[in-house]
Amino acid sequence: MEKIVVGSVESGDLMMSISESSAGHNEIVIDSKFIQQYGDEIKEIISNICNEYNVNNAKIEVNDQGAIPAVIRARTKTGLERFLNK
Amino acid sequence: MVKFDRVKPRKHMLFVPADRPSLYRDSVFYKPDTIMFDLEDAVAYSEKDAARMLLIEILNDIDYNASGIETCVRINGLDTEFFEKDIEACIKAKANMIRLPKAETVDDVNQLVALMEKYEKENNLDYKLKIFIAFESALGILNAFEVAKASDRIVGIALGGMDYLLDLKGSRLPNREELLYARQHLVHVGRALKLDVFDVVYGNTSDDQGFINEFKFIKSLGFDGKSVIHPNQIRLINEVYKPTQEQLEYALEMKEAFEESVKLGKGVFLFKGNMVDKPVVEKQLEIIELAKEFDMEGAL
Repeated sequence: MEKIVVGSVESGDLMMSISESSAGHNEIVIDSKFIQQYGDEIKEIISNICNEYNVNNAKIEVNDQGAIPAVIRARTKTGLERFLNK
Repeated sequence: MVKFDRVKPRKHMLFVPADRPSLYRDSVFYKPDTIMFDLEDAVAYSEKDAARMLLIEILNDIDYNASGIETCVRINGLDTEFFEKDIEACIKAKANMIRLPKAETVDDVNQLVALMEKYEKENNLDYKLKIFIAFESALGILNAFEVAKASDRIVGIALGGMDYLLDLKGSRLPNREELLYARQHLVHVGRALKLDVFDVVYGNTSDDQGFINEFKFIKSLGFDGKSVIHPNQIRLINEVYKPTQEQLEYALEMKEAFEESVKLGKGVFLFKGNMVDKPVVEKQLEIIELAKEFDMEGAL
């Protein structure tokens, strides 16, 4: 199945790809230079938005380039809307 | 009610592509009077949804107004499928102002205002967004007066150079003579309606002297400011606007003489050999206000 991609690998942004997961729940995989400091926070933001959108079967892969929470929220919302409307 | 009360005149509006997260953050440091987040030409068709979402999330997080910066969003035109969604995003982002591109008729403004009212109400906004109108066609320029007075939300008008030139079937001339009619017409409209008037962008970001020459020229025509595409152009505009120490001292002396004349109950007064009245004093008070903006000694 085709992956949804949103964002970029520019500084301050993140690139997120979303596809269907066969695990029966959301899988969130984060690649970030800031994983030790912010990994849990990034995952929590994404996870909360998945709940808001009632998405529980997505594999979400994130390449973070130091995105602030507002950018993480925006990219996740856009990605999930594209995922749900594909 | 307004969300943001300006304390300084609009001199520059910095275009920032609305799909670039790092520019939302960095643009604050250049202290433009207005940041214009661009949902239109700067954003690819396939990324309009992502840009709108960034706008909403980031503008709800970064308080540009606290830094004295006004936020404006250039939306896509009425003839696009993005028009209504862009307006909704501007309201959800709680921007200060919307820039309408390619305006041509009063009905364009009416459609915009109707949608703004709809989404302001839906989102329980306790203030009204302002409007800046860009004219980019012969019809738009000719209708500018009627269009610009179509709503009391309109605070300024601008000339859009590229589309206007295409519409005219003209060619770009070395000193932009092809824009002269439109520039002078819009200045008249702006002054007649007490609106700000903004000029086209200057595309060559490495040509400082060319930019300064053009800015001084359009300022002489009566323009308030210019839309800019590079932070360096903000500095250049400030250099032109910043009063000299001599101008400031002259203004301060006149202010003092004016205050003395008020105490004596005089309408006009003699200052350095010339009779001076209120409009002349007001011009000098503007210089003092500008000097304050640039933290000049003596003005504060």
